[in-house]
Amino acid sequence: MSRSKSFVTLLVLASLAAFTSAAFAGGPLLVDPKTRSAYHYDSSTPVPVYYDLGNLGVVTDYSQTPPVQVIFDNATGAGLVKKGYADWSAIPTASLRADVLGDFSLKGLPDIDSTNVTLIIGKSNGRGIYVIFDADGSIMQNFFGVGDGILGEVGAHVGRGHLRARDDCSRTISNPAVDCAGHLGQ
Amino acid sequence: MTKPRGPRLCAWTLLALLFATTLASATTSRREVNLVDLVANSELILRGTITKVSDGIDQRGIPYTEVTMHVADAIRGQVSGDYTFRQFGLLKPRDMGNGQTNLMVTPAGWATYSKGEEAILFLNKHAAWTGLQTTVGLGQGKFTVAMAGAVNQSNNAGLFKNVTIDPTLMGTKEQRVMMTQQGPVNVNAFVSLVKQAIDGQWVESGRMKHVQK
Repeated sequence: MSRSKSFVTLLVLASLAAFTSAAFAGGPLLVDPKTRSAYHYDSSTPVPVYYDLGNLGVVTDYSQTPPVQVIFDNATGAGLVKKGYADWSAIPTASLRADVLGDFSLKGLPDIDSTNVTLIIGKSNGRGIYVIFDADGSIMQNFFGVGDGILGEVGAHVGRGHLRARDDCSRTISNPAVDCAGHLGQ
Repeated sequence: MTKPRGPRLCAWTLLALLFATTLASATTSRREVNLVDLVANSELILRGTITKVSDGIDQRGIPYTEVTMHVADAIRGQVSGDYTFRQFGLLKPRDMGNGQTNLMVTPAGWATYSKGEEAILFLNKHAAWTGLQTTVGLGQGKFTVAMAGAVNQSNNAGLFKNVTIDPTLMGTKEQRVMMTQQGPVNVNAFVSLVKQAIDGQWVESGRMKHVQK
């Protein structure tokens, strides 16, 4: 291989490598095995977003002496949800546009915990994204059966018809999590 | 006359490293669990062959994948013969027959199973309310065994990171396993290490622990 060809080959491979992570990050969450097309929200209108009624999380900060309880209240959670979806919707190349309409009371839903989470998971409440605040981590542990260190779960629930449109999905944000050293996670 | 190969070799090495770091950053999207976490948090540790994988929706509307393992070695727990558990999520989207499709499949990053594969599972306790069960650290707590190697769904990245073990406890093969940064580990040496940690109560006694930062 000549020197120039070798250089061009290197350049092409380096370019491919540079875009590898982008390809991984943008992959579809769900693909219809029959049509091999990705499930997606109908992007003609913004997707409504609703968030839970209770606290985002209650944790113990062991870095203090004595340890202190720290409460991330509902307003903190709502702020994170609003900022997150606003940032996402502001990306010019993103097709998804989401509007955070308010809390679960708008849909007649109560504060969600591990005993009533099937009001969201496994049931369709209409088009939208439903963000659950798992304040004490009990949904992750007592419903999903996952242990410490898992910060959350996101999943689609229901799709409609041959258009592969996604109707609704939920995001479960676990108790902001105390890591093994007792430090507050995010 | 031979041309100097140093610069070209250096360029190819850099390119290989670029690929390696790019792939690693794309797949590491959650908190890593290490060997201390796996041993400390697992209720059962089973080695065997996956003999059946199916899915369904229970009477409460909870979608699940049901996995049956023929247990060859119960490394932790009193289990013999077949062990069956249910993990959250369907194997694939399911047509509900009413114009809707149930999309609650196995979430990304969770362990996935195939009939016939040999595996080592570090299992959490059952969920109190649903009875669902999954592996510690999700895909990081399921090791596929092949060609005398064992590897989890994170390619063993971080498995031995920030782990400290009393060096007088380990033999040569266990020490070699502990040097693995990523990629498959020798399955016999890995199982031996885990068994010694459990039998010797290394975590409980503090002889195997997280590195203090």
